[in-house]
Amino acid sequence: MCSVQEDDNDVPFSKVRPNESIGRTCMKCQEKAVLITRVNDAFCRSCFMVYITHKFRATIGKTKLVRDGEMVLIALSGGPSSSALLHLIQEGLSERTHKKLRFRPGLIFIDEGAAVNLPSSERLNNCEKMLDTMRSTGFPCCIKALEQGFDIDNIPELTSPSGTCCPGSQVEKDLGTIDHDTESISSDISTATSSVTLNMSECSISSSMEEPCSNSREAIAVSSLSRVESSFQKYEEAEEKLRCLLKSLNSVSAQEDLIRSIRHKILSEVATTCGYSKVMLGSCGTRLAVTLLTDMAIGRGGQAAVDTVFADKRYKNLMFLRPLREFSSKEIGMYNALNDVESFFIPTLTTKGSDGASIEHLTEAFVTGLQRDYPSTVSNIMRTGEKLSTGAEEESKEYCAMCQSSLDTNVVASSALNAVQFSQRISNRAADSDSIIDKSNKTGECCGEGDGGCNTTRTRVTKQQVLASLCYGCRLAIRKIDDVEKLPLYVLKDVFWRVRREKMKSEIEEFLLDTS
Amino acid sequence: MSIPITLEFSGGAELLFDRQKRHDINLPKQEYPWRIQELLPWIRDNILKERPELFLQGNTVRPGILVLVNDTDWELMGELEYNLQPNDRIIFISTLHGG
Ligand SMILES: [Zn+2]
Ligand SMILES: [Zn+2]
Repeated sequence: MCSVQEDDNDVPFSKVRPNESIGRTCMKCQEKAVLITRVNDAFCRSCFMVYITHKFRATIGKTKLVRDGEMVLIALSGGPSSSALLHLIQEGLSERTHKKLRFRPGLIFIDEGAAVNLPSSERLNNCEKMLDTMRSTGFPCCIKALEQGFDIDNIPELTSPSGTCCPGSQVEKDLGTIDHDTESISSDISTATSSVTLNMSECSISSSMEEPCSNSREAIAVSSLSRVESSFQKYEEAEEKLRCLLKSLNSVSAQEDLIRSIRHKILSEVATTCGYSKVMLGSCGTRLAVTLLTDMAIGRGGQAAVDTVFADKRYKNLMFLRPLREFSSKEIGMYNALNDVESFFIPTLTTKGSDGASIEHLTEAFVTGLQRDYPSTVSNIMRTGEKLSTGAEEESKEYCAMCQSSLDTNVVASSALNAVQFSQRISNRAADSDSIIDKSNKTGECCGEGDGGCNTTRTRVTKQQVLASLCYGCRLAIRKIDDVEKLPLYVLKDVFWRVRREKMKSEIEEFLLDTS
Repeated sequence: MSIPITLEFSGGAELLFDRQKRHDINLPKQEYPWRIQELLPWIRDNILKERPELFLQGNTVRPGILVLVNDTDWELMGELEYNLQPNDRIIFISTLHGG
């Protein structure tokens, strides 16, 4: 049934007894084996490396989605999978075979320390380590903090894909280090040689840029680390917002869900503003099996497919790729151990928690148990994602304001009375324009349209309006929130923009009805 | 004669050991050979600092924790049945998200 690769075993074999495996030799070359993988394949060290690199390139190559010379943003967390991904890419680019990888990577590290209350010394330490690692590759790189998601304020539909920030050009650029909105300076891109220095930093999250090219190469080259440090002190406000929002959610599962969506938002912002058309994620197959089952449990069944397939196309002009989806966490762990690939440990919300700390954590305990006792089952779960399709992806033109998935709420939730109630409330409010846009509640920010220089002011949106713009999963995640103003600005602005569009539409309709 | 071996914990497993990754230990002399089966409870009783259930499950390691004996998958070494030799290096790598 699941014949993606012809040599796959679909029947979930139980694990072989340990004493039957002692002293086994490599199935390819009869050398002494160093590990057992898949169902029961023993490999020696060198055949394992060949097997891993071959599988990695085949995963990328067979879809023909990544073109030669294409700019691909590699999302690093510092954890084992993305560290292995970076190592595989470096190996692949350096080889002289005809199977060589031919895209142009850029690296991004998102520091999520704020979400788990990591001490700032530790966060700084992580950033420094990552910066060292990234620089040693010679690829353009940048560092972002998760809380910077709160400073993103443009509406996706209105973002102009202009080439103000173009890491591809071989000139020195220092883009948008001045961000008058947040006064934040974060990160720099620099190549190992520092002869070419780029800074994609704030261009992605500032609503307007002053001096897009200011040629301050020395400034970056000299004190990049101290600037990373200074950036920590400057995000306090955003950090507070992030903590405040996480606190207002009712469960660890909802918090994990929100962190995931903010992370993706940052990745998509940096990618689109800096000219990257693909983003590679480090999620391995075991992780994706966990994601798939978790998605189903938290009301994201409609997104389980895009969350786990090789190419996630939910964003406009941007594709998320998962080139490690054919790998188990054991293969990643062995690859790193045998190649001395360094990764550092990243605490999460459920670190040291019991299995039941969150839905995702409990699912992981289940999946890793399966992986140990029935090694073939995990890839079966993960591949199920490819076969799941609601059919709504193509039809729906509406996207969730938070996670950008196609809105499943018309299909899924309409049976529940909720959807009806939502639309009733909204149409009631639409009749009364004062309640839909409460002019007394100005928040003082620009509407986010155009270049940000207009004088339109974004006004508060109600919880109902926010919920109506979200997919079912995101609704569940934030349903216990006490104040929707705690949500990131990009969500609020998107909602506001929708509300205004709806209002205009209904005004036009009224007008048409009146005259007919 | 006691058996000197090196233990390493990584991938988040070190959190349960006071964040110390490397432990050089001496297993006390005993009548029968030391197997990993006996090593695990010894670790629990002597160097594990907290939450044994996050390291052990039943008589073996928790699923999601890889065990390497001298850079070889312990599945090829007999797992719990493996007889420890002097100067062995046993690595425990957590592959679990968040440790
Ligand atoms: Zn071999
Ligand atoms: Zn959503």
